Amino acid sequence: MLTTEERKNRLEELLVRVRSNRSHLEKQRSEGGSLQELSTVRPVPDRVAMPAEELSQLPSQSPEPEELSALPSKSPEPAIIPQMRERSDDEIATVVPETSVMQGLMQDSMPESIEPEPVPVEPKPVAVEPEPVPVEPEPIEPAPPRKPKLKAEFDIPSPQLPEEPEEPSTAKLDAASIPASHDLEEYRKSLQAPDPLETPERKKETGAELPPMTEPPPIAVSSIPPTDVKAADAVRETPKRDFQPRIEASGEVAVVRGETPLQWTLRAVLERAWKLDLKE
Amino acid sequence: MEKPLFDASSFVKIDLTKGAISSSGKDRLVMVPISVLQSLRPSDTLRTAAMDWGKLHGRRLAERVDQTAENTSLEALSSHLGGTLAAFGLGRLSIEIHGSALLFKAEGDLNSRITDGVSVLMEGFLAGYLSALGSDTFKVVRLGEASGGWLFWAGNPRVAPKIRQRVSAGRTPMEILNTLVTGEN
Repeated sequence: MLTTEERKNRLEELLVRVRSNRSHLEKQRSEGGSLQELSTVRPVPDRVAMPAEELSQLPSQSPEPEELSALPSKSPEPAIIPQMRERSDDEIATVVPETSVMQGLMQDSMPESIEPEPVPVEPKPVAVEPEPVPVEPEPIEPAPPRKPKLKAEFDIPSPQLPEEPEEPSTAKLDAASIPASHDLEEYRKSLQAPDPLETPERKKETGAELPPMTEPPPIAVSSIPPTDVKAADAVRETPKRDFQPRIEASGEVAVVRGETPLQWTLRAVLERAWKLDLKE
Repeated sequence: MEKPLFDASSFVKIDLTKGAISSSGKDRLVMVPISVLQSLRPSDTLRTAAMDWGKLHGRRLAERVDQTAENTSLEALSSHLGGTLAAFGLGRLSIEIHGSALLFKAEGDLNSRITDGVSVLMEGFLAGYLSALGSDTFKVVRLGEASGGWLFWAGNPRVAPKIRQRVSAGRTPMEILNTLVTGEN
């Protein structure tokens, strides 16, 4: 492996040689015509006429492959392509395909097109070892113990189940309402027993079996001012059932004694009642 | 479906813009505690005002039914009058017929703590209501307590002072009713 200093020296040496070759070429061209003249020569579209002697000299002027491989990938300035000049008809011209000529010339002027020798580069195993960063955990201060007061505020006391099942609702009855002379069983039976006075015959007679009243619809609250929000909301938030008076019995007609006044009309009842007087 | 005689849906109206409550849009009402009502002292003025109040609602029934018609039963009176008093919170009313005597039995929280002023109020309301049904003027007298309620007698105004005397003399309602006979008038 060449050291850097050696490579540098060799590069400079190669540059010197290339410059000498170039100067030599320019010298030869100056013998045949000026550069200006040569630049005006129009090449033949497909074939380029080149003197045979110049052509024979071309390979000798090209740098050695091993030298080219050592050149930097980019030359500081492009090499001057040998130009052609018009020749007289008596001169013998060798016609070569343009492509081959140009390729040869390009080898001189474009060293970057030459594939450099593959330099075996063995990648150095890069041992990447992370530097051990001393990470010292910050000392975490222990949270202050909760205050007993806060704990008492957020702790929801678990419901305490009653040790004994609740007594039935009947146990909440007012003992004073139960007659002392009856035991509980008899008292319950007395509650469930129908009213002895309310016999079917009596109901039929007195007309107590009237058709049940229809459920009264809710009372309409009208004329709620739309602008008076508070007043309107106060009414709307009130449950409807609060405005529904439940009339359990709007009126009953009972005949204590007498004839069959249920067959009487309202007029008859009022007339008979109005005619009553007290005995002296 | 026939419209019921007493319609609770349109019975009480609250007008918040005017700050007024009315029954069926006509008579103005004021919600007061029962204690205020119980503090009323009996007077002729109270009785007259109560009669006018009762007449107002009696006329509504008279507008709905023809009380002279043969098909108008006593049920119309019980349903409309009972519903009206219940909506006012004056208790549960029922009609009882003793012979030819027309009685009203009032039950409820108000009547369990009835005072003389409340009694006059009830008497005046019932009398005005019945008077609005026909051409006859009625008077109503509280007979006394009977089986958890209060019995009110309704009849001829000429007989009413006599009955009131007997009530003041301590006669029971049944004793008074037993002395009622059909008169010549």
